Amino acid sequence: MAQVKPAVRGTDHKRQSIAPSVGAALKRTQAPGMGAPSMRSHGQNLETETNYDVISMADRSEGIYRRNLQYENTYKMEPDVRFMAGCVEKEAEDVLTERLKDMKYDPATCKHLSQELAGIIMERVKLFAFKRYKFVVVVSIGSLKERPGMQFGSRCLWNKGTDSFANVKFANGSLFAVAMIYGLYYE
Amino acid sequence: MDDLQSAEETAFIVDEISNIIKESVEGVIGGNAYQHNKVNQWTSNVVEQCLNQLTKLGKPFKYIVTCVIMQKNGAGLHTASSCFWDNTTDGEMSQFAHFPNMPSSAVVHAD
Repeated sequence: MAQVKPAVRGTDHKRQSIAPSVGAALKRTQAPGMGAPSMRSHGQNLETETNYDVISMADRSEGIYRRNLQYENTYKMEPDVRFMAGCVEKEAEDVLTERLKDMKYDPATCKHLSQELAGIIMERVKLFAFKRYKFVVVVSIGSLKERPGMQFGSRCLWNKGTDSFANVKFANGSLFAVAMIYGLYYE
Repeated sequence: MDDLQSAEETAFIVDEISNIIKESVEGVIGGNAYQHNKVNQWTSNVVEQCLNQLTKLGKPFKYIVTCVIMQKNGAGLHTASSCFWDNTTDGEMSQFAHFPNMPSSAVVHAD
């Protein structure tokens, strides 16, 4: 049974990267001989070149953890990485420009197009992998031919330190599109 | 936190929310026609009233309220939303109101 002797190098993460990368502390079910203090995984990669035998412990512990996965409270009030509205905005703008550049407004196609775009933007936002965030994407496509007057308003009740949103507008000759992407931290 | 509150208190009840939205929209806009200079104020008011009423419900939710007010001159509008959340605890409700000269819609997301 390999002993984990934390090599004190002033970096905490080396002692903690054993469990599979999930954003929560795993309950220890049975881990005989694991004298190390309770650890939290921050989703970092397993250190393979070390002073201590992490590999053999990981193999054993992975088996144990996979059978009985229970999430404990992480006591994390804030995310490690906040919702970066700027990046999301750029991404959404690219999607809208790419898909709607030469489109003409047509009721039948735009109905499906708005749903498709909401799906695509959602997938792109998920790729950013903001941990413990829930997302809401709202896409509206309307016609400009009749030159309607329109006002979009939105207000949110949330934690202003952790939650944010991104807003993207696009217009061409015959249609306009508005995408609103909200990121809410789940504590 | 879910252990401390019963299931009813944490449920997202669609009818309640639907009423709140309807009342807010009708209360603010009433039978008025589309006026460009007032529409900004109306959207803010609708959204604010909705949010106030929702907060009074006292549920442990974060809310996102969106309101769209449009001039009724035959233009079409399609809205779609995609949500990445927990289906058991979170929900969405939207209400479309037709006023004589001005359709308006409000969407509430709660999670």
